[in-house]
Amino acid sequence: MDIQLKKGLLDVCVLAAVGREPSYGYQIVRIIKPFVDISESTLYPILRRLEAAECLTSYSKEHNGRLRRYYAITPAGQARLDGFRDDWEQIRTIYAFIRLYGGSGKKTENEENT
Amino acid sequence: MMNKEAFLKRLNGILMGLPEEERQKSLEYYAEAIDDRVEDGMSEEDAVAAMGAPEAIAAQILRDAGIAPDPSLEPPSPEESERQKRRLYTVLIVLIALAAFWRFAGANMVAGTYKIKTKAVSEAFTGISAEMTAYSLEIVPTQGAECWVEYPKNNLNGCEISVKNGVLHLEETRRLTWLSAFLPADRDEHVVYLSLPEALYSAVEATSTSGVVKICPGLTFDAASISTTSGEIKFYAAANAVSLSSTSGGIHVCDIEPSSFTASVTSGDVKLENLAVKDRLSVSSVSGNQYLKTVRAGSVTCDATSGHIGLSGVQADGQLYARSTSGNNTIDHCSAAGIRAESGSGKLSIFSSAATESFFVKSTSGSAAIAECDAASFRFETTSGDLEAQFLRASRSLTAESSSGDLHFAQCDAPEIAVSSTSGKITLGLLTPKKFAVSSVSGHVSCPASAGEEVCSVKTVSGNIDITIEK
Repeated sequence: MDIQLKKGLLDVCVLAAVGREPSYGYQIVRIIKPFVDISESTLYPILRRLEAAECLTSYSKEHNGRLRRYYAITPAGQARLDGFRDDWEQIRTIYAFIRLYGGSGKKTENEENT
Repeated sequence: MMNKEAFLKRLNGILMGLPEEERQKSLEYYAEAIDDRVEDGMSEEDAVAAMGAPEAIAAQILRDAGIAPDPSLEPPSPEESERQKRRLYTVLIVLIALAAFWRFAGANMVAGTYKIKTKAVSEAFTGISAEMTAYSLEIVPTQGAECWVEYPKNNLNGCEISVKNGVLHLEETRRLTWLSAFLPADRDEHVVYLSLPEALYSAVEATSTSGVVKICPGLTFDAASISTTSGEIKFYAAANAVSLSSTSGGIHVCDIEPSSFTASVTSGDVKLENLAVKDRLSVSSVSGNQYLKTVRAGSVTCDATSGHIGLSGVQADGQLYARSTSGNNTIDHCSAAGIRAESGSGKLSIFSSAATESFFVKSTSGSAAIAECDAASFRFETTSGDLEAQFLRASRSLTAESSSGDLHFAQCDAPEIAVSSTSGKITLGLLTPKKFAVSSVSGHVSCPASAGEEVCSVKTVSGNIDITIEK
């Protein structure tokens, strides 16, 4: 998958993962992994970027005698997540166009996995 | 496989260019991620492996921070590491080839073969001082009137001979000592021979590292002092005062009659045979053993830590003192005015020995056995070791005390016998004392033989008593 496109989508995935309740690194990886291949090392730059863009805030909480950093969605992050849902209609239209004109009949979902 | 600490250390090392706070955040994040995986049931190594290579992680972080990562920090590609490995093997093979060449040809070219040199000493001297390292030294008597030194010499090693203030100095010389570290070990024994005309020499002082020092019979010295590190000492010459010491070399002395004799070793053995020492004879060793056979002296002291002591036919006009800590202590056919034999955890065995005065035997946890001995008075002290005594004759008294060790006496003859123990078992058999006292706190007491004729006392606090009195 195109790196830029995947990067943008992963940002949204992370926002979605912490959308319900604040979560920590390993938990976020576990939530997303069944859908998109992701590791802690891939996640770290995303978290840093989203935090810098104020889409996420983070705080430390004690767990088993050590600190665990929790990430929570901010209103700005929520707005971006909502924005993606609006974008979806447009993306679907673009997808239909690509299928229609570039059509090899191959499903893009399969390409994603290779 | 890397562990968490190594991973974080490596990451921290590469992220040095990052501001402190940023770096700390990254490290905390990865430490937490690893901890979370471990908590989830993964092994630490597997959790670290799941993070990926620290070089790649760091490169990403540095890129995001706008810092160009150092390309040398990237993990080496498989081809590159293969090439590095091959280069290393080549270097190793070349080194081995060089070492082999040096061992079989180069070393001999540099050092050369040994030749025997002979030098006559024309100056007069009464003392001898020798300093050897790897060379052995042998001092032999000569019929002639001249003193000769014979020594091996090659390009690097030799011997310097000089006479200063009436003392003959022999010194092993080693040129280019740093080079000798690269030379193959020389297994041959190279000996410096000093041939001395018969005379009374004031002193011989010799030191050696690995060489053997041998002083042959037929020579006479007033004082002899010899010390070596690993070389053996063989001393057979007549001397007034003899002092020998070695770290790991053995000491062998026989057929001499000095007025005083001292030998000390760390791990080497001391063997003394046929010695007549006018005053004091003293031997000490740490792990080395001591064997004294047919030795007569004013007084004898043998002290060993973990080494064994074996005395056979040792006679002392005064005290004979033999003490071992964890080694065994054996005294056989020895006699002295007073004998004191001590052992810590080692076994103590005494046979056919006699003391005109007191005979004292002390053992801590080792067992003690004594048989066929005579003394004016015997005294035994043991802590937890058992004592077995048979056929002892005391002209005055026999006393024994123990804490938990058993005391067993049979066929012992003494006018007064007193035996006491805290918890050890006491067994007495065939004794003929006039006064007799046995006491025990909790041990079992058994006296099946004839007891005291005049005063008899057997006490025990909680132990059993079992006495059969025969008329």
